[in-house]
Amino acid sequence: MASSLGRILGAALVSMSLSTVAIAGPLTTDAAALPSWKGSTPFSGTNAGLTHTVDAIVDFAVYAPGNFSLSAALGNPTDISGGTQYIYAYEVFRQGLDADISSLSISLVPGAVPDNTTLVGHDPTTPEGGVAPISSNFVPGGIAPKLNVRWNFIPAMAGSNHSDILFFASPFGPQMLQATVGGTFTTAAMASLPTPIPEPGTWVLMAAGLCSLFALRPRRRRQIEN
Amino acid sequence: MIRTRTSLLLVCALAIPAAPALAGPLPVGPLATAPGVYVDGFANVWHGSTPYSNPFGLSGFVDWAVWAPGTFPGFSGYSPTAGEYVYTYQAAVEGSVALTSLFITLDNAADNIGEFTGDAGFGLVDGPTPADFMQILPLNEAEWYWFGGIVEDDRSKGLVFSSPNPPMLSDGTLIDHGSFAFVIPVPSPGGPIIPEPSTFVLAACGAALFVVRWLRVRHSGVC
Repeated sequence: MASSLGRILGAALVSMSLSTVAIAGPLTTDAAALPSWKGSTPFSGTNAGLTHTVDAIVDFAVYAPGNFSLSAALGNPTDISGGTQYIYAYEVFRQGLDADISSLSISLVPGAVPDNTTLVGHDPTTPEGGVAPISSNFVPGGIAPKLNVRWNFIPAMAGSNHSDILFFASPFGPQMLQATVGGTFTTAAMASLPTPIPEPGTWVLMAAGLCSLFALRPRRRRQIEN
Repeated sequence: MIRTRTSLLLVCALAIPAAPALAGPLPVGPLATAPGVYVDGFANVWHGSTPYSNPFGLSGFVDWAVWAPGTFPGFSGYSPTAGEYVYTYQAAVEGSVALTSLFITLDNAADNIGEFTGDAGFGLVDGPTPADFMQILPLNEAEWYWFGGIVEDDRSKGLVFSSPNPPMLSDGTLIDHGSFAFVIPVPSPGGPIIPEPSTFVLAACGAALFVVRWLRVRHSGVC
């Protein structure tokens, strides 16, 4: 009796630990990532009619320039920036039993990535594997200040699936801003994820440059008049 | 001369921030006031425009119109399913951030999703950005995606699907700038038309009276 109870408890513990392994991805504990910029964010939301719910966990990690390809946890992946920029990496885990996951969208501050950047994607070769997005895009397209980055999953991610490692590159370090997980049944959920912020130093330098130009202008005119 | 040039430069500099203010909000599109749309048994005219917005700058409106079977006007790019109602939408973006998806709730049957453009005699329905992907998830939602986004002051093309069922008011969801907004109300296929019990009672009474009258006439004719 005692031994069978022990077996049941043991099996329960093993299955719990396996399910934990299945849920927690490599990003949250990746030694190559910035120590204070790795973790998990839960997303939970409904549709307008409150009849359906979408639940997800998004793991994230931010890598300093040159460190992404050093990640043994991700199988030393290729760095799309060639090691020159920060890499922002995410992994979406579907939770709950209702809506499937159709997208992850993360806000960007204008100037956080270059207007003509295309350094966004996903990595199907990591040991983690996962569902590949049908598209990985900065928004808006073309050469314009980017306002968000989005990955779409078509068909939507169902069951207990998780995504590939999703990533993009930026010259700037992280802050937390709003992000949205879109689900089927017109559901959506919003929470915060790391996203780059242009350094204050950049703005100060730009302002100083503009001031200098303005200050030089009258002198030149006076010189011309003289 | 220098003063004139400086003044002109100053006017131009002031005009740049003033331009959006002078441009004003986008006018509602042709679908919102389209003639010839479906009118239900309660005299509800099924066209309109519904605004959406959120605190993150995602804002605009969705124009919509529903057409009874066989009445979809002469737009190009879409052939409705024969004998079905046609549900049309056009998303407009007013906020400073781009829109990348519109999903409409489907609680009932729908099929044949698509896009259309053109002027059917009451204004041009068009936009610069075609959808990159669209699909119907049965009894779930109708989806239109724009991977690069629809930017400020632009509209989608006409968005459309067919359904055997007449409309009811429902809702939808729009996403981007890492945020979302609901749009309420918008039309969506309702349940199929089921005659009320009183309709059957009335029909039965009428049939009974007809039979009684016919029997009387027949009986008096025989006598």
